[in-house]
Amino acid sequence: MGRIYQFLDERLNLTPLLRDITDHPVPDHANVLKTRSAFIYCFGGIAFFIILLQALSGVFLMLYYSPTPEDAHASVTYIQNETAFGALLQGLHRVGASAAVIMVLLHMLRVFFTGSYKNPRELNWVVGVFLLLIVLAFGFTGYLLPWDQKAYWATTVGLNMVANVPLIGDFLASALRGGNEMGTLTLLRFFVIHVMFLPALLAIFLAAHFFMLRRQGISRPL
Amino acid sequence: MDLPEENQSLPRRRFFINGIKALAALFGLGLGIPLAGFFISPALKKDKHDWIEIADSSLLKDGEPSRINYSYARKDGWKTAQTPRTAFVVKQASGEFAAFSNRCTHLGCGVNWDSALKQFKCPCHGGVFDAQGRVVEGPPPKALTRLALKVEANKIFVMEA
Amino acid sequence: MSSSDNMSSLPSPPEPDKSPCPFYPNHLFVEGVCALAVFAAIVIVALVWQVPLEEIADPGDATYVPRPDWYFLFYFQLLKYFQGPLIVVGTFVLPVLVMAVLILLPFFDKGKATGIRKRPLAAAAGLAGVVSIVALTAVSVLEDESHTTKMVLPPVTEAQIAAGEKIFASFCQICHSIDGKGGFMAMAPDLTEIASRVSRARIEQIIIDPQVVSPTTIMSVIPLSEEERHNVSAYLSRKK
Repeated sequence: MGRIYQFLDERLNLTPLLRDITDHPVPDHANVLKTRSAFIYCFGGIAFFIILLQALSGVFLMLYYSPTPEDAHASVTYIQNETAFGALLQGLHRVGASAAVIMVLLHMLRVFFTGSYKNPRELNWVVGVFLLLIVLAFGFTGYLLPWDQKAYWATTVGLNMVANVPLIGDFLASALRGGNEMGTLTLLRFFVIHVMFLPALLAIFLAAHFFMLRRQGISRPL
Repeated sequence: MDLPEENQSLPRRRFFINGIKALAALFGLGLGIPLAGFFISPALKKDKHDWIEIADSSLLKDGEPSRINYSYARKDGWKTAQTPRTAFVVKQASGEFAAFSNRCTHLGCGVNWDSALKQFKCPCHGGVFDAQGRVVEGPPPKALTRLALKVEANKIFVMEA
Repeated sequence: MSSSDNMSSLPSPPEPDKSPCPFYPNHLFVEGVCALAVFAAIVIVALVWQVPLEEIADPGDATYVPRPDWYFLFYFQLLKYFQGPLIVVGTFVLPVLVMAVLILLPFFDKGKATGIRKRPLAAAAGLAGVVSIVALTAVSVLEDESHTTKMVLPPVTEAQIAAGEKIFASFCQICHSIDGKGGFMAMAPDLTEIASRVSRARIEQIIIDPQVVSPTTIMSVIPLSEEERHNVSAYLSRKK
């Protein structure tokens, strides 16, 4: 281990990079070991952890999932009943989705009530609001994938809400739906949005979120 | 802007910077337009609708809307899918038939006929319609959608709106 | 306070820290413990609360009562209050407005105070937001409770289950297999685990009107009395 690290370090000069990540001090007010109430500073980190969990369970669920109206429901049933740990994994993904929303909201409330969004962290707050929207979009698109009754009707209502946007609403809803009727194309594009578009977007915004956090440090209450 | 290199003339540098911007715009348009068009193309297609036979007119009760489940073949991406539908057909006082789509005009949930109250009720946000499909209360902005309907040899045909 | 001097002073804590806590390994360990606790909680919920997979989507189903996931319930409830031409307020204007306020919040709330006690207005606004979301969610749940109790089902008794099993054997088992018995030619779905898929009220609905499952179902209306139907649904509600 040490040798390999040395080999890499000599050639890539990793130490300053790692030092920067590992050694940056965590202020007392955000440190549970020193301040009891500091647990409220944990929500963001936990939200990130859950997002990683979602990515991992999601990638594995895709091994057995088929995004067509004919097969989706059967493939989810198959995951639940005939794969080892399938029910657990699907449960994890489903419960994790709720947990992610809860943690993101708690994190947001913490930032709001400690006034952490103020100068100089305005931009990070804005990025955070977009992250909330992305997480909700994950929820909305993921909801359709089992293609059960709840999925179908919740998405029907959701898309009809989009259609209410003035002027371009109908067009927007049709574009998302892939036509005027929910069907094969709707499920496929919701799937692709859920597993490709949104993760890409999420990665970009998360990177920005963390970059700004490291540059500006954790806010402290005044 | 950054300082120019010792010997590089300012105009030359400006040329390259503008060149990069032009390239970015070219790539943006050259990729952006096909990608966006590719994404939205299903929305640009019009659905074709035909008459669908849904019921025998002699079997319908007078005055009371009958729930009729039917299905029609619809082009769904690269395949043809049988799409289930529900309509309410009612014989009006004039003797004419009227067919209503069961999709609530608010946000698209399926309405039900409440035979005790003689009203259509939406289970989602509480929309209520009367037997003629008119809004009685709740959020719906307009009456239930009337489907085009014709009767031929005692068979009722409708066309999707 | 200019942003540049702020930036340079930020990474170091206000008073020099006597024993600075580095992110790695100290803080990461604490975060890891938190994460483990959350993970355990998620696993337990996932195991206890079997993920509800409902019947396959049926666009023709006229009896299904759609509800969104819990975190959209408040919004679902809110939509009931915007009627007719005002719908667009609920579906578009309000969400856009809320998002705009959230995004622009740091740009019009420029006061320097960050402690919540020094910001009564922000505290009140935040609290009002949280309370109204919780309240709307609660109203939505309560309204649904009062609607679904319309179908009054007698509590399940052992006698009912026994009676239900007999009725099931003579009327239903010809087509529906259960616990490996009956269901000739696999004409109808197996009901061995029916109760893990649908509620007892839903079972009653299906017996009353088989078409609620699917308009093309070949199941016919079974002439059962109300009591017999309750017995069958009681029996089936134990089949998990």
